Amino acid sequence: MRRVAFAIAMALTCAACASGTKVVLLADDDGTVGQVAVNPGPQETRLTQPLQSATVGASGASVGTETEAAVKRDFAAALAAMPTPPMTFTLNFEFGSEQLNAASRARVPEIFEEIARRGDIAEVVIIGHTDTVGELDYNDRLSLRRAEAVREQMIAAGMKPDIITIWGRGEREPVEGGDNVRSEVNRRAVVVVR
Amino acid sequence: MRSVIRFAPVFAILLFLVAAIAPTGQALAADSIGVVKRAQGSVEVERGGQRQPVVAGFALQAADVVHTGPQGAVGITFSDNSLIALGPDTTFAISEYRFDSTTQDGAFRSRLSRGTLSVASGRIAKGGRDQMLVETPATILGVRGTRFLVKVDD
Repeated sequence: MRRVAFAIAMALTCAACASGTKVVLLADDDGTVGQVAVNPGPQETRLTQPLQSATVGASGASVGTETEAAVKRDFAAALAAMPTPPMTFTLNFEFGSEQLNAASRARVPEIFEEIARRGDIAEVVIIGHTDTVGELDYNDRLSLRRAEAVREQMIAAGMKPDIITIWGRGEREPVEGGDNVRSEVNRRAVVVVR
Repeated sequence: MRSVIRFAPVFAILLFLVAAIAPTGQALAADSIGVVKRAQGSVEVERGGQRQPVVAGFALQAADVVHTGPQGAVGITFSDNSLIALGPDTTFAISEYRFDSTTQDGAFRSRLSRGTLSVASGRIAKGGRDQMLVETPATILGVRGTRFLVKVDD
């Protein structure tokens, strides 16, 4: 077994000799910039600026800056193949009910337009949310029930059942307030079209 | 190299066992971790030792390996809203994918052996430090909520 391990280690080492890696950080669509850690850990090299790059080879990582032209040249095909980003619609309920309120019902056609725009590959995720009153487990179940109720309302409006997935997020993602706060804003469903 | 050749039969048997255990056939929706949204040129998924051609709408599973040919490109939306695209002549393996839709904890580990990769990370990368990792032959990348590009030279 030791020799097998050695053979695998040798194969990995030689692969590292042959292939260099370049990584380039980009800004998000909303202008915010995240981070990528090269070789994450105590010795990591962190990219934090748009177009900042790291080239990693046998001798370690060197940091530089890419031009937009170089990025387009090297990554044109991958960038062109990126899926359309998901679009989200936040819907609210009638007081004390799992029926969508009038304002949210009026937005349902927008959801159908977005699905039509994406064609056959469109998927829908309906995410139920609760306010922070009550126990975590109870709210997890309640939120899933809300998502199911919205799913039924969407199917009644003509959505194909097999494109829909439901999630219950419970009280884990409130829009406002601390724990044990009644909130009509937090009692909601988020519909993701992707 | 000699020891590699000597143990080639061991690898062959291991590969056979992996192929025998791995599920085959069409993806069940429940196992789907992502959906191919765009595919052009030659795009194939390797699953359980077998390669199959991929078109838009194809459902990916954990442990799939995606291959693109010289004119190939593919765009995939994962269940956590991670968006990934591959350029031509690319090999991208999904080593591990877990995502809990309620807690939104998960892990997304992949390996880019060759070619080009574009990533806009999703919910998994927001869940905790380095829950999304991309391995290449030269290094490992820890994703901390962002868009980035990776290129592995032959």
